[in-house]
Amino acid sequence: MTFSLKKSNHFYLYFHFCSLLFSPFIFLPILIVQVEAHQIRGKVSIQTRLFSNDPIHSGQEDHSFSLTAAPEYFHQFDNGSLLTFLPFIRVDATDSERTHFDIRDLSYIWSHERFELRVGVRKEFWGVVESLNLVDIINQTDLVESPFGEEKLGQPMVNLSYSAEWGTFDFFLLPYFRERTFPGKKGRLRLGFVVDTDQPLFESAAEENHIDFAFRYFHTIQKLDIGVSHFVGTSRDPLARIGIKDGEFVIRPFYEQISQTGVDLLLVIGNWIWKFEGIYRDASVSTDYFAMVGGLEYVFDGIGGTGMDLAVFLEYLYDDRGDELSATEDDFLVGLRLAFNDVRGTSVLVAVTQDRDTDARFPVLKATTRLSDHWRFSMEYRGLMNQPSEDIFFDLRDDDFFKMELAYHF
Amino acid sequence: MNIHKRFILTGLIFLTAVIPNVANGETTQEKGLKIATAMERRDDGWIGQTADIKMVIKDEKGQGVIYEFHIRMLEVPDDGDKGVIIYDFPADMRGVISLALLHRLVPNDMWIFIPSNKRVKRFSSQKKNSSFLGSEFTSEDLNRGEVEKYTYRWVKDEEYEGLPCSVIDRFPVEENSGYIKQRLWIDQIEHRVLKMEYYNLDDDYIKTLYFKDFQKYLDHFWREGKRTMVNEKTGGSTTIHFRNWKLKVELNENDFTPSRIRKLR
Repeated sequence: MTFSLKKSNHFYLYFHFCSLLFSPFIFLPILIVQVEAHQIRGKVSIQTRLFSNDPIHSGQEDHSFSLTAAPEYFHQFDNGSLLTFLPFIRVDATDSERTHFDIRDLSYIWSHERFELRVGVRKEFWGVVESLNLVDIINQTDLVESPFGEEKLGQPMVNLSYSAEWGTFDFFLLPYFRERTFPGKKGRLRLGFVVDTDQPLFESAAEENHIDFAFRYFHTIQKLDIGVSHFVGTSRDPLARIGIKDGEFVIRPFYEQISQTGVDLLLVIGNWIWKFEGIYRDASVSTDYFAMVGGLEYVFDGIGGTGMDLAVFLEYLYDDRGDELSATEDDFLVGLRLAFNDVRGTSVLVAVTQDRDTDARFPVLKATTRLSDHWRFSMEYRGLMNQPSEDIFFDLRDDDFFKMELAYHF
Repeated sequence: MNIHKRFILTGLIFLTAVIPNVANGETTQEKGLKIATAMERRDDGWIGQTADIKMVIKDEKGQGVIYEFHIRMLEVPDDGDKGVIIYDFPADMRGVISLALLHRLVPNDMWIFIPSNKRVKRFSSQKKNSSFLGSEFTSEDLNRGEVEKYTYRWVKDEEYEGLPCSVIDRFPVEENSGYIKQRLWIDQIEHRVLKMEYYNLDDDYIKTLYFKDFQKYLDHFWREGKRTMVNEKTGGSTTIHFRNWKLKVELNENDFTPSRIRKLR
């Protein structure tokens, strides 16, 4: 559970759940003799976000500075099974909602020939495209980490995986729901009304204890990767309901029940990579919809004898709900990724998402390089240009930002 | 001389004139292929192997950068082998895992697992000319090179480092190779590559790879202790040091799939 300190009751429940989940496993490591490998590794970082415009919503403060830590401990046993613990913490100088703690991974993986059983809190990523991974549905978005949804919260699960000659079958039982994080009143990159994460609403009477299920089939047929997935349970994307807190209007996140079927395809032909992700979502409160992202990528390898790679990609995003409910209803993404393949692991990505009907445009620039054996420097620019007033990103229109991170890896 | 015999004789003279490289009834191409095949066969039967690797990259001024990783490989008798690289150093690469499924007749399949977002990404194996982590090796140089991926020509026999060697040229079959040819020095007794020269598409001699410090494992398999790639143009070099070679290791075949690699350590 991502928690601001006032939400300790939720955290207690979550922790209680974790201990229940792990009780059969707690003694296992002791019974299995001889530890083969264990290690602590991870990263601590210092970050700053600079905003080029003044905030437009009341209570927002101008720029933020924060510290993060993500140490990882793992234990590999003689029989190949693996115990992992990966907590994450961010302390933000400005926004108390952005200051948060999460268990990204606390899991035990047991393998036996074609079977693999993964139990605990984990991250499970699905998807193939660059712009928006529609099929990726297991983990909740950690929105205070990234306004564009790339960072995820740990999800409690029991995942049984079976590898047959003709594909891998994954079954997921997801017994506890994670609520999305949102920036607080002082935070940038938020809606005009603050999202009150202390007053969530659920369609299901079981609230966050609703048990969700998911299934995925994945297979590689020569140069083609195919994924087919289905999810039944609490939507990771909340709807907005109006509420009141301390005499002010707030948005209360409302989590409905959905089922979603997804398909992802990736085909490699020489230096070309073709990608597709499509979903159909059957929602019980909001509208049902179909959405897809299709694209291609071409890699110029070792350009000019330098050993560098230049990838050029183009993607098209479609969502049949239209402008008011989706930011990606009819958009193009074009981008370049330059991998220097140098001893510093330097890379630069430049991309822009352009709405086809309006002038809305989202440019992005990302660059990273290694400073020494343990230090890495990264920077990112995100622009939100020409947001029309009916778009969902309109409230973020003046939140273009420049982020810098200095990370120590160990 | 009857006409029949004379016909055969002129036929033979004609043939030898057109194909001057017929020797003992085989062409230099056949001889080259035979040597390459014998080399591959000599190493059959290792089943599974693991090793720890340290890669030292030195530029022309001798400034060095170190990488560490470990590898697991699975022998696939009727196709190319399967291999996993698990990165250990520098610290920001710790836990990155790459998977390669090599093939004899079609391009290889490759995936990479990035721990920060838990994403397994497939990429094009045609990225042959990309430098491997800034070293003198390209992605193409790291693959063992299945016999079917080249055509061959025997060049000569000569002694190299006191060992009788066959010198053969091999020519990449697949598109997008960075090389027009590679010249190999193969030890005639133990069928090991000792040295390899690389020629770019303009047929310029650009790099040399030396295999050193061989040791015999399980009384049969030769493994080098290090291989050094020297850039003949810039003077830079990269040495890959191998430690803890373990052969005939039982590895789970199911771990060499994109959906399973992320738990490897």
